[in-house]
Amino acid sequence: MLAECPQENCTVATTGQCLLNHNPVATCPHYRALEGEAEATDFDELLVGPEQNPSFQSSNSLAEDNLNQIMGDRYCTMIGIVGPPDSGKTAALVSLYLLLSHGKLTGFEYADSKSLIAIDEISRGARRWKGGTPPDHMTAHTELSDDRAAAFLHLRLQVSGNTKSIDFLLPDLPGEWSTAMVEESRHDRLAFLNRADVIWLMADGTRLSQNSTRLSSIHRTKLYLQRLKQFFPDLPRVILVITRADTSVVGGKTIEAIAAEAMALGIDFCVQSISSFSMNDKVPPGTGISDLITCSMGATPVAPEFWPQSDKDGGNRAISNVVRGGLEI
Amino acid sequence: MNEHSIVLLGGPDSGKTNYMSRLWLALNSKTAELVASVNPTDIKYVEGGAEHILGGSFAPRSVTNSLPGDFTLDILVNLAADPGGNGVSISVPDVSGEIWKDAIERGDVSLEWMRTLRQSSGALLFVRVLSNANVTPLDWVNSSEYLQWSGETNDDDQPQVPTQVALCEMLRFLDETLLRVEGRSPRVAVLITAWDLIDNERSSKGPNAFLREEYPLFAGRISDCTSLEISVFGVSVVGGDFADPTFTAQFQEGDINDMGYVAMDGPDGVVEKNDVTLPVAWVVGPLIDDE
Repeated sequence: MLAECPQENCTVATTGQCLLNHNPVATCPHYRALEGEAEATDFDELLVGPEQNPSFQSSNSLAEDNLNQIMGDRYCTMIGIVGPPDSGKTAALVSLYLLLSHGKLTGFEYADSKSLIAIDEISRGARRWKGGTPPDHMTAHTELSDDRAAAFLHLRLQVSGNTKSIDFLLPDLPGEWSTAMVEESRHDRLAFLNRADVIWLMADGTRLSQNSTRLSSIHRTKLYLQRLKQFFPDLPRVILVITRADTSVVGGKTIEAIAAEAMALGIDFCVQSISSFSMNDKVPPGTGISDLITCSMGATPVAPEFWPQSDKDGGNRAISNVVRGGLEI
Repeated sequence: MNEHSIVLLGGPDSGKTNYMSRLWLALNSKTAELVASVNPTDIKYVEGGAEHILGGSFAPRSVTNSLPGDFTLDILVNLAADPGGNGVSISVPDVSGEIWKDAIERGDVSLEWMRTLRQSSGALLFVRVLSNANVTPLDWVNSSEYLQWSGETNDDDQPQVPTQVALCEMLRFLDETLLRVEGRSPRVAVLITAWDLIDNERSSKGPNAFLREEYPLFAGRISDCTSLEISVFGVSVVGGDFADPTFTAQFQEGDINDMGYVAMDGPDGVVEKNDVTLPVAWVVGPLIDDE
């Protein structure tokens, strides 16, 4: 019997095996028998296609349409990652993966990934978003059902010394998509943020700390918060992820200005500084990533007051409650 | 008597052929936990490797584009403790490491090998200590320069898939395909070969600790996997390295049955046993019980 199945990676047409292990295969709701075996035989001589090897299930990034297959089995914490180009989005993902690869993500261990090859390829620089267009490497393995939709990476982490594990879904998006949301109100490609459990708003710590770029960077970060709230009114908690903490120290006034905007918009907001890689011997690479993951788990943790009153000199006070890894910002 | 297939997987230079050859010698000696009561019809493949080992050298790497029938040991095995009891006929095809390397990069495998996987009731998954073919993951210290300009490189300069990622992928392939006999989770023995090359401090912590230190992703995957029954073994097929002339001389003057051992984590610490059939005995144990 000739058959076909629209499910990605299902090889029922060639192997007779159902991707979802339905036996007999005809009981699968996605299975479609093709009529006219005799008719098809007539075509066989004319249409002998190239012999294809049977495939294993994909280990590449997951198209948005396929997330339900994973989320149907286990609850997945979806992290919405937004931020301008070169704000360190991919670097944070790579750093997280490399920490796991070396068993150095404090408090967590790797457990599983349905997109391990995709994450590994990203870590090796084999696949990067360029100019807002999905690169060829991605489409070589996985046909995105819609090249305007996001692709996701799955990662299951085991809490060290605990039986608890958490599944994360992380998008790897071009920064241009975030820019388009801010500058052109184009938010359709970020629609998945409606389903996100937490949002990482990535901001380059260098730009937030250098005098020549500080004010414009504060402005842009505020704009991101405004746009996020405008387009996604039920916004989950937003973590301002300040990157490049190895080479930059973001001042308290800067953080205060952004936090005040978040508060005015009614956004549940906190700050985490990270150093995905490090050019500074005193700051280990990956600093802050473990705390970022902890902050991103499930419900809002009981956190200390974001900006407590201090008796110290107001101009130099440290925001120790949001500082991780011994860094001062 | 049931017939089962136990498939061998591992990357290039992971020690599959040497283990199979040594396994054959152990089964044939009838002194191990698992014994071959009848000599198989075709022993050309394993005899070739055994000849190397008995001569004091390791077998060369397998031909890269093999088919399932090319390197397969079909053999009837019994438990030594129950020689008159039920036996199980096992077919152990040795898949070339290069085939799996390609499978991981492309996500597919030839129809013949896919059939072999789907007909297998258990598996041996190999990784070799200190193999030149092992690929370590990128790190920030040694690769920081690379990581900064990643994305600008050409394909020839790309680092390869790290060994631990390849192992996770091969475990996934097995999980997707192995037969669930009587609805049971299939058994997969992870064999860390050349175990004798590990220093005493690390080997005393046992094979599971070694995996956690050396391959954290793979160790984490093993801990998380509930759909397969997985056990980890450290294996030394002859108990030393033929690159060491002193060892080779001792080996050649000794008895092959005294050479080689398997290290396992037990409730009271690491146990070493002079029996290289133990990983296979563990994998086929439930299949023999089915008889």
